[in-house]
Amino acid sequence: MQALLNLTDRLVALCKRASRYVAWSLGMLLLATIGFIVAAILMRKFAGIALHGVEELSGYMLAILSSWGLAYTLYEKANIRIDIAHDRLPAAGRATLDVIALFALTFVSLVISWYAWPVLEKSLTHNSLANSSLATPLWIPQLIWFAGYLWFSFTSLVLSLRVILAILQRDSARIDALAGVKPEIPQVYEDLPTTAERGQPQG
Amino acid sequence: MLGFLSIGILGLLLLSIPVAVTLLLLAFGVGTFFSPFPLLKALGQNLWSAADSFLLIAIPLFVLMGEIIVRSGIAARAYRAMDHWLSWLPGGLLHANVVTSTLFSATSGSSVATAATISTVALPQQKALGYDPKLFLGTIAAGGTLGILIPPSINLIIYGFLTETSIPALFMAGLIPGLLLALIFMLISIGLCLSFPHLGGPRRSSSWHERFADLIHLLPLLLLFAAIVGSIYLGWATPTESAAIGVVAAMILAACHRKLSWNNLLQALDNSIKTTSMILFIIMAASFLNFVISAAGLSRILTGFLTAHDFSPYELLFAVILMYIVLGFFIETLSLMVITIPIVAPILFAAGFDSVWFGVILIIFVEMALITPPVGLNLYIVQSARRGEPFSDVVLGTLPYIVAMLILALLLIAFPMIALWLPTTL
Repeated sequence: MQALLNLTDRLVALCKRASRYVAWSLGMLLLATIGFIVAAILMRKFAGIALHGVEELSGYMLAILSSWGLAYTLYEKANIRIDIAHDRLPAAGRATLDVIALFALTFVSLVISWYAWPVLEKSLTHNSLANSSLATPLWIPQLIWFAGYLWFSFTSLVLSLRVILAILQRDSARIDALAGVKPEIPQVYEDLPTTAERGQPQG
Repeated sequence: MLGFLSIGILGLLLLSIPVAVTLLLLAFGVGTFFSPFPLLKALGQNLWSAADSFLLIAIPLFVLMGEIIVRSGIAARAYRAMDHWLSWLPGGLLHANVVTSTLFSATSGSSVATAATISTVALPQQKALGYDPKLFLGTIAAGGTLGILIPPSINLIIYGFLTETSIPALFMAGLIPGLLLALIFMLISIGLCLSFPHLGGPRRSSSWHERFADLIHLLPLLLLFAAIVGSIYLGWATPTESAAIGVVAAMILAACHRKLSWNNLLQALDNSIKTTSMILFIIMAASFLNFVISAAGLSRILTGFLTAHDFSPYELLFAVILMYIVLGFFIETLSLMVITIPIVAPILFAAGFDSVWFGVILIIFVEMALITPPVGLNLYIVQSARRGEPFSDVVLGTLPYIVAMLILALLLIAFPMIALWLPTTL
């Protein structure tokens, strides 16, 4: 049991760290897309040259973001959950709801991966090309997109496994740490000292 | 099927199952039990074609722009400028609260970030100058909601995506009602402070020199806003392109304020990816549910129900509005939109209402949901910026502005051209 605990703990930590790197890469991809879009606008406005493929490639970027970002939202507890009832329950009740929510999410992630595969498979067997000037072989973006869903399924399975162990140990604090609801209070970035100093009333 | 959907949505959400998961589970349920066709098989193709979209890229871009703006230190400066320009009015700083929130939320695109930022900037003044807390807090909480009606607005993009309505038209339609609502907020504050002077605080007048000296701090936000709205209005750029321009402009702005460090940028990117993935998950789920329930014939069922009961279009509209007010008490706003739009929008469009116009009406009630307890995020954000004082101050303080939203909604119903005039000139 202890060995299993250690193993899953390490897996959870690994998934968490990996999903952070993925998020970082997605951020870079987003920056690159912005550069690409802005370059296309400038070329069109000032040089009269139309850059082809901006819309298409940016679309692939978004599809990739939509699947690969999911593990990160899961591990950062960024998914929106309605906590009216959740908030009013004792710890054991909250833990029960957290477990149900996580299992439901894992189930959905598996169903998504299951039904996303045929999309990629079809593009592979038909060797489909995008209906565009780039004529991108569709399997390339779809492979990356599909892998993102696989990664999402894998990470939610790992988290579910760890939570099952926590249930066996009756460790509701651990369940809360792994799968609880994160209160939504945003960070504030204004420099308060300068604000107070600048904003002093003049009487 | 309608019963299954309503009970399913409420039940699963109450169990605190993530919103996107709830929508997908319901879609699986409807696809399995209410349709002879294997609708679930379309899930993959649906997710791919919904996500492979140039339009939706505007979402991460506007989120990123907001993240950069929020970190740029602009809010405090803009607030001081507004103080100089507006505090001579009855109500004093209340107007600076409203207008700074309007400007800041319009460009940052986030009601919540606006309420949080303006709270920290403005609250020290409330204490120092002896303002009654209620209206002061109310103007911040309500003022922060204005941004989702004024372009660029992620909420309008989501509405446009789910109802296949033109985003540029929606952006233009939201502009005048949004500014009008800010004006009604100010008029109500003036009215209240003239009738009950203890609700406001000291009026102060600043010299013209101070006013013009501070004007430069308003320019960045105004320019950013003008660049985005202008480029869409003039047809130079699509909403997505204007968002990319907005990100670059926000970066330049932050750099001018010496707030564009690599670290800041990384944090902004990280938060944007987190927020965007969450939003996209919900949109993808809503779009699949949309597909499943229309394929399973929900609109036919609804239309049958409606013709059997012979509702007039306006009875329908008011029933829908009442539903939004009630649901808005309990459901968080993004969820409120994606859950209801697939069901409500087709009915209203069939009854002859304009899709652009209804988008604006819907957003007004989404704004209201942000400031109606028990689930009204802005109320809690403002409250969290102060300690040990009653939450009821914030709730009571927003009441006049909820009335203002109702007034605007009625004006829009009576005179749809308030919203539709600008898009028709496009």
